[in-house]
Amino acid sequence: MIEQFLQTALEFIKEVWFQLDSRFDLENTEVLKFLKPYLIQLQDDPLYMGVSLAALFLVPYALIKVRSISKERERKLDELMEEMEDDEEYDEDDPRRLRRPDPEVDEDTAKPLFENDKDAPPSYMKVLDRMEGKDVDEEDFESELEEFELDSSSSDNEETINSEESAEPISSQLTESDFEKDLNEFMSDDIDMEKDVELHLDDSAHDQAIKELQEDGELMEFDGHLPSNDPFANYSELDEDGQDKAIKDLQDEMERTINQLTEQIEEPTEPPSSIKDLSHLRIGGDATIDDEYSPKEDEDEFFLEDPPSPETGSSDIENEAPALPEESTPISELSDSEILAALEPELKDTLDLESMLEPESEPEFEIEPELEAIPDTRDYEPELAGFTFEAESDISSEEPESEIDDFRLEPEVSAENFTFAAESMGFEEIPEPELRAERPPVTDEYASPGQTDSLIDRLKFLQTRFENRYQPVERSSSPISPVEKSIPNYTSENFVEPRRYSSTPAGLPPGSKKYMDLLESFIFMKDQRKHK
Amino acid sequence: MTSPINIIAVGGGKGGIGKSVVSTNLAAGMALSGQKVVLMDTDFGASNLHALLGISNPAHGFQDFFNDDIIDPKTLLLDTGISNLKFVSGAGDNPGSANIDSDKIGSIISFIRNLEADTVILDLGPGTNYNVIDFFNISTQGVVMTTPEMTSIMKTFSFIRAALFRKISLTFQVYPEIQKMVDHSNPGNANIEAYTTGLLRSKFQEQFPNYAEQLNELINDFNPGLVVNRVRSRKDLMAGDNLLKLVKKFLEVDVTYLGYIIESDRVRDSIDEMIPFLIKDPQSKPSENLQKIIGALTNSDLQFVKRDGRIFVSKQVRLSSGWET
Repeated sequence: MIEQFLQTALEFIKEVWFQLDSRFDLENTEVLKFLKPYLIQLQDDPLYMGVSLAALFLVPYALIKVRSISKERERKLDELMEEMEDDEEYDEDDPRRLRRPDPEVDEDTAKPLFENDKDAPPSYMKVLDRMEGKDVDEEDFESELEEFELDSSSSDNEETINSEESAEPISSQLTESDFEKDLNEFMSDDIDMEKDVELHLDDSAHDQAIKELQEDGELMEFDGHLPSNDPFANYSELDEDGQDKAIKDLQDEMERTINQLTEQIEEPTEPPSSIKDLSHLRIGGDATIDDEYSPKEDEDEFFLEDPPSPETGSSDIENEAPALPEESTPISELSDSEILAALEPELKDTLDLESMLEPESEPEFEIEPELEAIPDTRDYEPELAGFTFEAESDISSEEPESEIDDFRLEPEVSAENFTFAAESMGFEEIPEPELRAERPPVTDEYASPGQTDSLIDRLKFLQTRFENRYQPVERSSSPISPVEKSIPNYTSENFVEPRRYSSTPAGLPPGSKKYMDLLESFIFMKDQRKHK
Repeated sequence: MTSPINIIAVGGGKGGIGKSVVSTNLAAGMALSGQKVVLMDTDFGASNLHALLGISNPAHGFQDFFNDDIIDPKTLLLDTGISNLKFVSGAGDNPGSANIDSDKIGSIISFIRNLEADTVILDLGPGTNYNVIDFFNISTQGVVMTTPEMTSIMKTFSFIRAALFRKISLTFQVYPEIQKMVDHSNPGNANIEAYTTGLLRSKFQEQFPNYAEQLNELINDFNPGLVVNRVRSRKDLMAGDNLLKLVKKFLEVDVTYLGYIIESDRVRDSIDEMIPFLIKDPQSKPSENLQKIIGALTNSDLQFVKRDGRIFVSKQVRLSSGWET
């Protein structure tokens, strides 16, 4: 039976082979020559033939079967997953979250706190546009100052909130103040509001962000209360757009004011003599100031060579402030440093500056009480990178009289970067009592009882830099004396002589005369060249 | 009556410029061209030429010159495996061997001059001390080598000047006043104002006018050849021109430009394999450069071809070198 079957199969195969051979001439192919002995062997042995036939059919069948089984399993798994997703409530603890992150949650957490900020241009851009497009006159500056004073506390709050989003906590820049209390109070209000909107948690990106911050414990550090005029007092009562708008406005105001002050302070051309001049000042950014100053090592070197002055009294604001109300100098004749100095105590009185000062700044002027005659900016020296207390005191105290006299006679010579000849002479002509008499109106006019500590710090920082630029030459008892000295004038004497390095002419072509001259110079000594 | 032996001294002030490699290949090339060549390592104190030829533990060497037992000078000639090429090793040197006295140098020079060979190639050590310069000055054809670097050019210039002044010093060694001018080995007793041939000529004209003509002859007869090694670009070839100009300007010596050898890894490989690159690959670029140098030295036009491990000249004349690679 089997033999008959095999015979039939063989005949069938032969017929197929004959047809293929007649069509494709398989007889003469290399493959056939290679396979021929094996085929003959298969033909002779039925067992081999059976095995080969089985292999021919079974192996493809097995492959197809395995693939179909795997497909069926995948289909069943998909169905099961769909059923589970449809039926079950989505749980945060569900391990499926690991596999499939919830797009809604991610979207919420990724949402910015204030969406309108994306569309609106940055506030500092407005200030820059204004400063570049047109000159800000005195009235603008005054109005900005007033706005700045009124909204300072709220703008501080805003800045703090925004800083929560950033990686660096604002606490590194802010000192402990009422502001933290205000913020904490604001947070407590916010928690109340959150209860109302808890059911709509997924829809409120703002509340979600606040909640996350609160859960992280970052906002719970603040305690205290907001001032009465704080726009954030009713923060929880505002709708979302209102909150955003309030924060944004405050931020704009604060940035505008600070940028204006920065630019005014960094004005390099002439020393301002009034608040009007202050509005026209353009001093540039931090980089400009840093560039104009000599490097830090130069400063250090200068300070090391100049012993500290014994005459320098304390430069505390407290000591300086009582004298200010007696001054009668017109505003138009006051320098920016004076104005800023006048602003300083007022801010300080209202906001308890002592408690807000950074811890490293306080020991500085306690340790060195002799720095009385030094401008009050010295109190905030630790905030300045590259400038130290000792440095400034040394500069003002160590200056020899002859140099000062020379400087007075030829102020333009000493001012390498700034030529303040006319202005400085004008300052010196002003009698000191007159200056003092004119000070109080200025300070009263621009006093800001509502300033927050961060803004004060920023102002002090700018003022310090301003004072450093226009450092008084003489060690007069009046810290308001006009500033004419430029630091490069003094540091140039104390610079380490730079090492000179004359590089050999590299890359000289070997055929050039210079190359030959150089070669000869290497071969012969100096006194031998004349005998060549 | 045998023809005078041709002594080629390969020197240069700077170490590491390829003196030993070029000496070995020059010797191999000349031997393959049919000359009986003796290659001698005169870098006493730091000999290494036997390593380039693959001769380990040489049976005899430089130290045998100073043994009490008088040996046959022929025993110093070592077989190199290259037909017509014998080798005198400097191996067996000891610390301080570079400072042997002039008498021993004289005996070695005498040995060289009495060798039965067509050409003796001396591989000199670096520096400009008299033990090196004296070997250079006995040569019938001095070859100074340099590399394109300025430092090498400077040292080669110093080497040429030292060799010239030493030659003048030996010529006038019986005249102490002249020695003061040309031998600055004792600076306290030397007149160091004559550091160029122009100054020397003027001094001779002033103080020794009778010997001025002899001085001129010495200077005119001093014509070393120059080989620039490790050339990488056309700009490097200018280094050789600069040296020629420098020597002409300050020493009034005409240096013959023999040729250059390019920088090649084949040269380095041949050193590692201890086979002269002219034999290892005679049709490589460095080998072609070397063949031109040999042609310039021998006033011939040789070209080597390697087929089936055998070296042939361009005329298809087989050289029975016996060197099978």
